[in-house]
Amino acid sequence: MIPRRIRPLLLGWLAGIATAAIAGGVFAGLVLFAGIYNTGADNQHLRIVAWAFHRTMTSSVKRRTQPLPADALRDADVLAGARDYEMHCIACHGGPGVARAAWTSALLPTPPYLLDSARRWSPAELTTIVRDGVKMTAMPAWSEVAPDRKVDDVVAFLIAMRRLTPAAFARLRAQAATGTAPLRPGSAASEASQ
Amino acid sequence: MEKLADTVRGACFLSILALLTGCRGASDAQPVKGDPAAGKIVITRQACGSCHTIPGIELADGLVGPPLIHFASRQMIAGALPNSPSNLAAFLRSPQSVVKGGAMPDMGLTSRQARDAAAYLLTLK
Repeated sequence: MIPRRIRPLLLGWLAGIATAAIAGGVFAGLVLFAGIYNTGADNQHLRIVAWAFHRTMTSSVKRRTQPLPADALRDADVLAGARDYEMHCIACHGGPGVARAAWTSALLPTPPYLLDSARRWSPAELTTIVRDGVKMTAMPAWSEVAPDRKVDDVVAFLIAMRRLTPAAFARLRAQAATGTAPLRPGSAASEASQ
Repeated sequence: MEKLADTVRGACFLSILALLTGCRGASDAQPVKGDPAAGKIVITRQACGSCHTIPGIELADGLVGPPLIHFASRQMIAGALPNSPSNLAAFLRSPQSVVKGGAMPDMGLTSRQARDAAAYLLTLK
């Protein structure tokens, strides 16, 4: 049935598969039970591993992002977003002229500053990340603990942050600490550029 | 007092090093040199790459501040200080005291971390 000339090749192929399976099994055993993979956060990823994790996250976010409803960000309250950012985001992500909390440099992966997050991600993608979080990082799925409206507010603030000078950010933080009047998208950005 | 002790210890270390290396360059040795490999880790951990594009640092593709490519050949730091290892380390320790009100925050680096990060940036010819 199998031509005689192919048979040795086929045998070699099967032997190769068996070898790979055994090597894979041994490697899995060493990782799972002998602890050869260091999960300590003091141990930096190899560059290729860091790249692969980040690439995986980026692809996952893009695949799971749905177009935003047209009114999602129009009705968002930038000042409320700034207030939530101040409460829940600034420690890990900092802001214009504001450093992250010192301990965040000890996180692996370490959380990024978000000054150009609106350049890196579309509003819909930012919504996916804030809403769903990122597995195996310290980024929580905020939709588990906050209504979607708040996610929209924070995303509107992230978009406004792109144009915030450090001075405008400081003013907005002060305003967020005291003010209660809603601030619509556009007004924060126009205020920031003044 | 402790600083003096450190200096003395450093001098002893350098003279021993000079003996070991046949006195080559004992006079032009910097007081304490940064370690570029350690600097690379400082730069990664401080998330410098979310605002700066930095060659050799994974995911460092930020475009908020200037790209740090060819940093060793740059003449000025933040357009304000002549580029040198000690000026760069001082700037990294407190960017706000050089560019007050700038977007780059004081990150609370130790002088050791600042020297190491500076040493890495100055490998970028």
